[in-house]
Amino acid sequence: MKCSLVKLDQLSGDMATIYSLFIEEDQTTLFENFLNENKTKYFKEVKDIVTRLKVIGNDTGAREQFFKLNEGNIGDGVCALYDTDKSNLRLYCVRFGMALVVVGGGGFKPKSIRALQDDPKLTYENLFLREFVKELMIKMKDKDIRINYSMDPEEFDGDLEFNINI
Amino acid sequence: MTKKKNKTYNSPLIDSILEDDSNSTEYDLVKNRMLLASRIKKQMSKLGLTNLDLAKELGRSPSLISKWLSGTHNFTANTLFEIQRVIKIDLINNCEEKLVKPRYELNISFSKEDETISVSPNYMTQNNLNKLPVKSRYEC
Repeated sequence: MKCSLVKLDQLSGDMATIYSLFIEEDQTTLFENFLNENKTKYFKEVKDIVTRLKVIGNDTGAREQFFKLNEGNIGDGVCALYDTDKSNLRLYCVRFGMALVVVGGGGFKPKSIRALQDDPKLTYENLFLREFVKELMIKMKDKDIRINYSMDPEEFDGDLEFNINI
Repeated sequence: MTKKKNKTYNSPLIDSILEDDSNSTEYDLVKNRMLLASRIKKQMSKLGLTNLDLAKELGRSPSLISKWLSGTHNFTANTLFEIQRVIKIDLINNCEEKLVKPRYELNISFSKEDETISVSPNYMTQNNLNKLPVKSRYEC
């Protein structure tokens, strides 16, 4: 699946740059898919999530405490925006320090599930991001992508196009 | 390395969610919750306190502390009092805003007979004053 890293301008700010993956065949981002899938039934939660991401971009930065860590493979940075037991939605992200976040997809979080693997939608969204990070790490190793620390806040630089297969 | 321009993306859907009428107040509420959580965590790091340490000090579970610090929690005043005792900074007054000293409007009347100045009741009550004695100009 061809996709590219795009900076979400409305959410990014002085404290962090917020990205998502633009899916060529859908002509939308993973994050927009998440919003479209859930805005009708869970509008209040969706609004809260968007607002929290904007606060992260503009006021606080991507502090670790705002995420549930270790939702991916060890050390790959895949996490979830913090959701309480009462939350209906889970949104997966990849966090690169305080100033760079890639927002992925997610979905309804059934109360009955104990593990990610129990829900096919969440499993898919999680795996997609894990595969993205694997590809990203390869590109960073080959210096096709780098994090531009001279920007404030940091941004990705280089070949931002990916081919994700899961 | 192939250099490609950083693509920025403007989503009409994000715009519509952010432009919702009640959003500016809601934005401030969310922002304040997250800033407060950040302050607490920053101070904990300064003092070398982990979530587990704070949990033990307050007799709460570590998962509750994580929830408190997640930016999603709406603190009660009592909880803030408990936390600030441990981390030793003022959370209630949220010292980003300086307290302004109250001003008193005084109604002053001067009595020539006993050479005293009377002030308005509010000021007197709060400061346990009855009359302020004034020295006669002949004594000066």
